[in-house]
Amino acid sequence: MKNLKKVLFQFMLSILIFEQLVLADTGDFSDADDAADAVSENIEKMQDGTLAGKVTVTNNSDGSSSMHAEFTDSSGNVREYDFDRSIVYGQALDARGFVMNENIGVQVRDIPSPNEMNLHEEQSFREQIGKISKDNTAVNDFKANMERAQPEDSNETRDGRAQLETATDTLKATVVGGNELTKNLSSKMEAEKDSIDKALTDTAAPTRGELLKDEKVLPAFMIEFPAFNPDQSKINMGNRLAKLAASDPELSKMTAKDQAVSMSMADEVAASLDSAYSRIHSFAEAHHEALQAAGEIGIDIALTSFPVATLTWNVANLISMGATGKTLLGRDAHGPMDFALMAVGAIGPGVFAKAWAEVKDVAKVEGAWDKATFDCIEDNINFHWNKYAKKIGIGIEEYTDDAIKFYEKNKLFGKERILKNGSPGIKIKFKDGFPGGIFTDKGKIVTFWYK
Amino acid sequence: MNKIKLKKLENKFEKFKDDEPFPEDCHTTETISDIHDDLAEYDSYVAGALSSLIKTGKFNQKAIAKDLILNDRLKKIIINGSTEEINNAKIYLKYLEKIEEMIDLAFECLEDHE
Repeated sequence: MKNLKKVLFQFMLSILIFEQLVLADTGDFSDADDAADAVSENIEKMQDGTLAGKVTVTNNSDGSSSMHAEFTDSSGNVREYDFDRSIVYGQALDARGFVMNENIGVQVRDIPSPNEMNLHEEQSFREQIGKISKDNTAVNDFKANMERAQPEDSNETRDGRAQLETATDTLKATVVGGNELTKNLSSKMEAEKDSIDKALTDTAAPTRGELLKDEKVLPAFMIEFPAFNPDQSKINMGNRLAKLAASDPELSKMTAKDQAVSMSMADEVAASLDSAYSRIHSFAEAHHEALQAAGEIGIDIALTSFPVATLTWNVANLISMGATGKTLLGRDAHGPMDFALMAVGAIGPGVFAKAWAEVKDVAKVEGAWDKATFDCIEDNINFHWNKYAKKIGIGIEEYTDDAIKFYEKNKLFGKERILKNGSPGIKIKFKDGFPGGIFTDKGKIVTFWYK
Repeated sequence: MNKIKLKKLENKFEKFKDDEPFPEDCHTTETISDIHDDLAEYDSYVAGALSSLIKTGKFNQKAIAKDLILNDRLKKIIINGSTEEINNAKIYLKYLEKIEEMIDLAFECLEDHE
């Protein structure tokens, strides 16, 4: 680009100086060839004495020759010219006849015609333009100027060139700025996607809680994603890029291509977030299904994110979650600004309650068990049925009946022992494949196992 | 009573009750089989007290206690027993340690009153 400018600069100066130095005295010329011919003619006139002046020719050691000429023009000013091969060095006069105190090289030979030069320059510029942008207004304006410019329209050509340079610089700055912004945004978005993935892998195990529904406290499960903050992710992920671009001068500098790339990445992050929600929901549903498979009846699953500021979730929270429950109790708070995403599912009436509802002879079942250290007999049955019978698909009543029958049939084979509470009891057990149990001395079941 | 700790104990106990079946009686030797029976009774004894603590806040200090003798018997088998005994003892010890974790948590409920 610098070389191009230099050539153009020299060319423009050559036109200007010919106009001022030679053409003023020898007439008007439409191109540099005519001007060069006029110079040669003047020199010839000086050499043959028809024009007052002095010409000195020197043969150089390298085989070239140089020539010095001087004459007095019609205004009485002395003009001197040094010809070195094709270059004229002259002490120039400006348009008003003042001496310009500098030697300026003027190429008078081997100069492409102005038309040829412009075509060459224009081709070069077109290549430059093509590399930068096809749709820049400033470039288009310059191209139009170049096409319109005639060889003698030097001012217009210079204006066009200046426009091109300005447009080029602006485009370069924009592209570089856009790339940097794109790179930064890309980096942030990738980091955000990673943080979403990490947050989901940091998922805590489901915990149990309580949900107040229809004035009944029901067990509930909660799945927390303490590291996942969807609200922050939405802000970070750049799906608001368009809004930012409108307000941020740096972003607005981005080229359409860069903006498209950024928007595409924003879409990716948005998709990643959607996927995260989907995965969380699937996770919750899987747990929900597992509970159902185990016989617990899941009522609801809802996802939400909100600041956990108190120990108790209020009604509005759960309503906003779309849950049918009212209040979740006994929740540990992480801190006033802590956010947590939770999947909440109410479970009810519960496996044991369901199994208990199927017991036909409640009095007989309750009467068969020792209360032991439990608060009530039902709790003791609940514990033992869960431990020894539920997994093999045996109901509460059947489990109790089996224990009673086992005791009645084998009590004579039992071994007396002092129970943990200090009272007398009996242990009955056999070898492989037989059940076993511990009973009070009155035959109440303390514990009973099948194998 | 520390309500937060109590809530943790409740969650732990529910999980223990629902998801932790009692290990089978291996019948490998009379010793290890007896340990199974003792562990079964101890399990029931402590569970009742923990359940009552969670439900009513009453702390049965006699029942909520570690059975150091049972623990020691299992560890001795793990050191000196046959391969099969060791394997069974490890299973029983693992179960026993879960009970002991709940006992520790139960005592933590008493540590600070909030």
